[in-house]
Amino acid sequence: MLRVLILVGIGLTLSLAEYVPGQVIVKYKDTPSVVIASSRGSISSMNNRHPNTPFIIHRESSIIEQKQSLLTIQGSRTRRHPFEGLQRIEFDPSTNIDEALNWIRSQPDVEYAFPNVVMRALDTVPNDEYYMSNQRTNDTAMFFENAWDISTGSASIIVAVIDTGVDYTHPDLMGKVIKGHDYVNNDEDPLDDNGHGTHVAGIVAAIGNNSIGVSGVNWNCQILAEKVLDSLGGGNSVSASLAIIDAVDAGAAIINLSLGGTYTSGYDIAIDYAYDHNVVVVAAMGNYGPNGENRYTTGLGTDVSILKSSPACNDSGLNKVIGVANLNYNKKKSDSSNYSNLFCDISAVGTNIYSTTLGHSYVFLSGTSMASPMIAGVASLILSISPNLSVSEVKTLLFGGAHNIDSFNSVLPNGSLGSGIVDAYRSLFSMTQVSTTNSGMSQIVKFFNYKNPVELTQGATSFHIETTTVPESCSIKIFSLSGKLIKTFVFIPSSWIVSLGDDNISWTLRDESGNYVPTGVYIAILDVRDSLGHVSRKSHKVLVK
Amino acid sequence: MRHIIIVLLFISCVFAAGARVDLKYDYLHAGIAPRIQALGETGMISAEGPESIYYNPALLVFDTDKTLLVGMTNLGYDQQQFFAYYRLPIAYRNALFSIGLVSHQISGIEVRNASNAFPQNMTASDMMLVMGISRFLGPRTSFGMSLQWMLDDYTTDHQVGVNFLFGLSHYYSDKVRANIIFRYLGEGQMVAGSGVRLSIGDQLILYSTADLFLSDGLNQVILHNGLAWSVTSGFELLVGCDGANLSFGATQCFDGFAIQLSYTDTPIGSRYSVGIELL
Repeated sequence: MLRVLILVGIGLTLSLAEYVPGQVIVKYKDTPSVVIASSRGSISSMNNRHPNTPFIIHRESSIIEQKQSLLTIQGSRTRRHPFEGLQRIEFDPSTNIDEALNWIRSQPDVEYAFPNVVMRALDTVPNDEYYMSNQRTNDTAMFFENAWDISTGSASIIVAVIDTGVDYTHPDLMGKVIKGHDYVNNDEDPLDDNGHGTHVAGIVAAIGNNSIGVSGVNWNCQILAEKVLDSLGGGNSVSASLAIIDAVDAGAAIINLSLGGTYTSGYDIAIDYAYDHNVVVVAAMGNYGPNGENRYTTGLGTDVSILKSSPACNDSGLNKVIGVANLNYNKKKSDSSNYSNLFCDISAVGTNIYSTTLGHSYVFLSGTSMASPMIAGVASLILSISPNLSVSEVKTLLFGGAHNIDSFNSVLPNGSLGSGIVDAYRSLFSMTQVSTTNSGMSQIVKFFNYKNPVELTQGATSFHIETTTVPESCSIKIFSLSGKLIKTFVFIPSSWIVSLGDDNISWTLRDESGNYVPTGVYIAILDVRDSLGHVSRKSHKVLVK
Repeated sequence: MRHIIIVLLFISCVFAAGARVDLKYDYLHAGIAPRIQALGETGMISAEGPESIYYNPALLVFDTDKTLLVGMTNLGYDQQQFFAYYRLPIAYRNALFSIGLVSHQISGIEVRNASNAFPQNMTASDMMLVMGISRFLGPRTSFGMSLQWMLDDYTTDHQVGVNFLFGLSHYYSDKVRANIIFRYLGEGQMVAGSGVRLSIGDQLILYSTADLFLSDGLNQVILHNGLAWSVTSGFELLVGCDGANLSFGATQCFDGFAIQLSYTDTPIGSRYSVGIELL
């Protein structure tokens, strides 16, 4: 029976692939009846059996160690524990458990081995009236239910909806809307007279688990309503820019812009202002061109790299705005959604989205206007857990959790839909793996350069680093393939993420003497030292062409 | 002739004071033949077999019983290098001809256009074809030259490189041999090198070389040193130092063939190489 349970456990593990870091359970073929365990490993531990174990083992002990000790002291045994003989091996937390398992299972003295799987409560499913019938298919594509196991949001987070206003009397939004400015009527009553803004607000923050209507991505956050579009959905960029600044000054953590139009640099000042105040700006990529380009020709939306019809294109090339494309629930881009491998950062399901509207009612709407608040909502969940994260850190969590969907959209150039479809659970779960403080062991999560390959004519390439805690210090050494040291960077990061825009580490493709390196492959080695004195290392290949 | 060689060696040593080995075709410095790797990449003076055409073609006329060398090097970081050299005499003024092929590839290179882009993996590969000729100029002096074609599949214009190498080798006595080389890498980049081979007793041979990068000097000198210990008539232990790299190896001769092994410890990890030589 135990073997059956173990095999079932392995099967579940293979499908979920979510392990307790650094732990494997092993059963040796010749385990003695009583295993003497210690922090240095038992007499029959893996380290003693295989001195050349290719992994760092910190500890090995029986998983029923305490009960065994008690039985040994008492000198008698009344029954055999079902788990007797099972050993818990604790590797270095950075160990790849799949590789460790494969190696352990290949050893002749191992009967079987399996990972220690993370368990959690079943997915959180809200009881809202229309959730199961009209929302769940879309929401599960973005793993909201799993994410709600971790957080359903915080009332301290304010998401600004700069749109047609919000119907703050709607039962699913009542009590959580902060009234901003109405730039259409020039008053302080941003009541929605179109329905678009109310729909967007409901996607972000409709009250969850209240038995009525729908559930927003963030059940508890507040909405700051800024009305810049009139009853026909029209407005101007000056009003939108002023509203962005208003929202920043009012304490919004996130700003959603489900609007667009002909490109104007008029947004730049406001977007810079938001970015400089560490406010996340999310913008819809737009549907077709601003004048309906491609609506009747290709039916494929528009590459906004050319038209720049979305505020996502107003980030001066520094990615200050998160551009969002619209998907169907099957991960294919909606025909109407614009795209861009320059300005689109991530995608979300924004097709047939059921949300709040005027008249205390609900309606299905589709478009990047609906996809954008999905991302704003996930960003608000992230900030609900860690309100002090930087914009870069939020983006890293969002993009790092997303699933690449280029293969579902092969008609588009790779990267046209950004990092892919958002996975709220993966973004939130990865937060449990990192700490924004510099306490504790710092392991390297990601280390790479971009662009890679980099051409000599491009002049430089940037390094991107993510660690589990804020390191004490970092160094990057660049070697030639034959082991010659070319360049050294030593720096003290201010965050667990080092990337363009923050602690930017950029290599100008020159050696210490200032000479350009020849084309070829170079090895970059990152050493991260944490507050405990541990050093973790990761390498990466940089191709200069 | 002897005086010319001495002058050239002196000039080469003066240049070596402010230069370092080139990085162009860097991978070629990390695994052309196991014995050379084990001797700290001192191939300019220590090469004995057909692989001499890469290091110093003037050495082709020595140890002519070694006709074929094939093998591979695992350079770490998902990169491998395969090599094969063949030497044959040609019926013109007692010259010797050799040809070699070196293939190198490195996989697992992550391709990214932006920090939030999903990476794709790519493999880059290079190849070098080398051929050379050598003959004695006198009873103690030999001359050789070789031509190398290199191409890769990853640089912007799929770079094709042409590399010329000239070498001189001179025996002062049974105990001392000195060599010089001049290599033109293309695009105005040139390397000069000098090396000395000293026999110490009957069992030890010391190899020392210095490389000089004549263009874009990088103000760093890399010296190469190797020591070979003939434990028995057919077994040789090797140790070498190439900058920060330490290397070890051995050769074992059998009836009609020999095996070469090397292990090199570098700041970025270790690499090992194995080769079989037909005698």
